[in-house]
Amino acid sequence: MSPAVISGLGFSEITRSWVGTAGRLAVDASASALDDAGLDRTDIDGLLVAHSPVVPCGELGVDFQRTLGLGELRLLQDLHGHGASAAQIIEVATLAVQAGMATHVLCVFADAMVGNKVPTAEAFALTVPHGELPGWEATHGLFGAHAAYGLAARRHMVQYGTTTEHFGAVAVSARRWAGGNPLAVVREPMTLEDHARSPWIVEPFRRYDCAFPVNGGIAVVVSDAEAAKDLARAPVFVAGFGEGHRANYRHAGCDLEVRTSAGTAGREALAMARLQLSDVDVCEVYDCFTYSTIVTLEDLGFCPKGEGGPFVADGNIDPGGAIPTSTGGGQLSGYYLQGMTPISEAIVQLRGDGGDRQVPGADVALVACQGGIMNHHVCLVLTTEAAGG
Amino acid sequence: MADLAIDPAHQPFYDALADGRLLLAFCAACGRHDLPGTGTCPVCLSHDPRWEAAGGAGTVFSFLVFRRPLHPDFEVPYSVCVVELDEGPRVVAWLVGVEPEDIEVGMPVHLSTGPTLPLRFRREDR
Repeated sequence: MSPAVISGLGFSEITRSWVGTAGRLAVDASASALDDAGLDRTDIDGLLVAHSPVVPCGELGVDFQRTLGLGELRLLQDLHGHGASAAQIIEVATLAVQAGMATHVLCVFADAMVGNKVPTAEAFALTVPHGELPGWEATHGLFGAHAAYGLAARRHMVQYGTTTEHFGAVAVSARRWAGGNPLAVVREPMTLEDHARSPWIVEPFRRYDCAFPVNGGIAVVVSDAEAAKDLARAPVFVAGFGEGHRANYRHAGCDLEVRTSAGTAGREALAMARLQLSDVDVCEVYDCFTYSTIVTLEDLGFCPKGEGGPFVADGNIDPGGAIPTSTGGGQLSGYYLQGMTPISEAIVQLRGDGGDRQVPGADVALVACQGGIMNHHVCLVLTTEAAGG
Repeated sequence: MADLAIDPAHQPFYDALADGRLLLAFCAACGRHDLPGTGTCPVCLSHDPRWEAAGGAGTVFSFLVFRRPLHPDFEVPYSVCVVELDEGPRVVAWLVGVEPEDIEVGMPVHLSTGPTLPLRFRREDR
């Protein structure tokens, strides 16, 4: 069985203003990924797409095959796994390539949260169902993913003493990393004082605890390693992956707000790659809010449960820290394109393309994606060498 | 106020709320209480929950204070709580009579709802 590698990575324009539909951004990202790999559309025999709920399936679903003018495919799926789906399409592509179903699989994600007349902040003011009574959340003024994550963050604060200053440390670290990423949407330096002065959006989150919505697309080509041997770029190996899912029963005894299944997903992914946590050079997380970096690092095992706040405040995730994390500025300061944010940054680092933000000797990346409200977790282990190599 | 999209199966729940009572879906087969949902008990997979009034006692499981206006119907600041009922279910509700600064996780509360939503609780000294 030939290993699967990432042979291409492409970006559309990433912007906080309207430049076109998600479908159009997906086309630009796809063309960019094919160009990066040195492949032609006729080489693609698999297509996997994922998108946020604001993007209609007609724009970026199975019909995207026609939009992109592709010929006959041997693999085509539109995967709905909430925020984790970008990592899941990489998994499915890898499995398909390993099984011989396809040789070059194009994996595409695009989003267009910021509409023609929708200011960026309002783009996130969607109601997130907390239970199964439609309309209940909006009737109570409970708007936005920031509210859903804020409720979880509050639990962590009460249970473990995590503070808004700890959240600030995550935001400041992300901004430091973003300073070296030309694609990051916000790069001007930020201090802890800036974070503390940023207005409350919904307590316990300030403005700088929240990712900025953007419009953009990212595409990745997953190829059979043998078929990718002579392509333009050095391969990045998909060495392992794993998932962990827990439903929130909204009932006494459920604690996934502070103890997520990222731990399960991470352990599975590292075991498949036959690597240890100590082998990881860079960690790329789904940091839609500062709190998610803290809880994810704990659950992955980089620090004990409950100590994520002090761990980030001590500089462990910063440039030069023990575990460089969200090294392109993450979703907080880089760009919020769901799971494709951490995935794309891992590829950039392993290729050594990080420029001013490059982590020296980055050979193993752990990517932790999540979806729902801390329900669904998918981890990828990406490496510069084949497993056992 | 945003419109509720009421599932006909949940109508008794809303009819009781108009009388100030909070009904829970009670699974007689296993003794589990839940908010109205799919009608299937996630513990024993029974499809026959019956309605039972909540006792009204609970504690604050988590809470938020909205400081940035997101909807014209809601003037900031306002707080939203998740109350864990003594029966087990966690419900999104408002805590009235308590300033946002004074809300604490674990604070005992009691149902104090009127004929209209939002669902309201008051602080209770126990």
